[in-house]
Amino acid sequence: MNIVDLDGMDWYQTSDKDGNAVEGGAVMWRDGSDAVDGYSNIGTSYTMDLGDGVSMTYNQNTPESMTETVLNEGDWETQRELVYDKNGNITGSQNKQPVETEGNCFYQAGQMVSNSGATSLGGGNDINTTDGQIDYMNEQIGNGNSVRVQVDYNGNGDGDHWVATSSRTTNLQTQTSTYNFYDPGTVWSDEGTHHTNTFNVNNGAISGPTHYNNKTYTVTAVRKNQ
Amino acid sequence: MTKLQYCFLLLISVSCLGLIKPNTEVETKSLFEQYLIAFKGQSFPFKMDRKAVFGMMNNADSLFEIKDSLKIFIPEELKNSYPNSKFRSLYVLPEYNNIIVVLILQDFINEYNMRVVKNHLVSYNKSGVVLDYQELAGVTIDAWEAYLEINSNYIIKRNLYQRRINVEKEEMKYARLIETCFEYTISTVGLIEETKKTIREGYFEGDWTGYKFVKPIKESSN
Repeated sequence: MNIVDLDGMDWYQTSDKDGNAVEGGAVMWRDGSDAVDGYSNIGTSYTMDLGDGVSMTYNQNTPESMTETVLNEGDWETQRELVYDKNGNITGSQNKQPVETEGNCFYQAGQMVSNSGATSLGGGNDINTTDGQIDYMNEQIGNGNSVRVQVDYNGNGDGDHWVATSSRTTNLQTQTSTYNFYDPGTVWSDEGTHHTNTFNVNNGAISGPTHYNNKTYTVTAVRKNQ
Repeated sequence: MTKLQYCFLLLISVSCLGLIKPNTEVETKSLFEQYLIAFKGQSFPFKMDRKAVFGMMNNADSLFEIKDSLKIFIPEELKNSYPNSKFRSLYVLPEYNNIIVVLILQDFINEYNMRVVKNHLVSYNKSGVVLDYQELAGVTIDAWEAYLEINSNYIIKRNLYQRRINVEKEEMKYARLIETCFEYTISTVGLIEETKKTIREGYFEGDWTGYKFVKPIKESSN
């Protein structure tokens, strides 16, 4: 049954004594937007956790998208460390030492792949065609694995940074997918895991913004897992 | 040379000096006009949100760099603050009580080897004499960000967000920040005066436009 909200049908969640929705509380979709005893109106859309990293987002009672998550916030890794002034105020960040490992985006993206349970391979295992990259990311996310992705951030066509895929969201109406990624290039987890860190497939290329510096990344290679 | 010839030559020289005596006001005004040409006209209301601030940083190299001969119009304190600074022309704002107001961009590497990009509002009289200036929008990645908004009454708002370490595990999806909101007005003599300042610390959610307050800091995490 697909129903448009002409008559005000909404999602409701059990509420506390102050009328606030209880996180993790029972959820229902029901006719009308009127107050319901013991429940709080949480709006027209709702994301339902189906377990195993899979969630479904509904607009009213229509399933609109499905998200498969392979990295959680605790899996994020960074190549940066904070820099302070003499008064202890934060002045920015710098690459960790040693730069060959801890301070290296390739290394930290590989660590994130490991956190998903897979092992990213060494050199000579890159996929360079867009179709091949999409197929491989789909295959690995389907298996619950993150993959290491090389990107160009200055538009010169060369891969100059590495990130790790964190989830795939499939639009169930169009059957198109977008891919979120975790970025080790910032010192802050809220930026490195920001929900807008997203690759889209457009005109034969995979690209998208990273939130911490607002640059657009274009995928140049996807590194295979073991 | 006879005395008569000498006096004649002296008279001609003095006369000529009088004729070619530079009119500094005219020259300065002309230079000031040249300086203003590189600024893009901007009407009100005017806003530089997060996206615009990062756009300013990422595209700084494509903006017009103020050439040495026109740097006389940059406030001395700014020029001396970081000698490696590049100054670029951004916007000329609507004239206010015969006061010319511009936004200039300063781009430099600070003593901690961090790139700092910030803009300054500078007020001038009609001859190009600096009346006042004030830092407004800018960013140093992973440290601070500031946004700007000016309404049609020339009320200038600056929101500054400074990072603090987030120690609450369950709040990791948020940014722990000190938010300082400033409000300025420009006086009739061109001074940029702070009229309001509020500070709060808490957890904020970031998007492309900026940061939105989510909740205050728990007492125990202070």
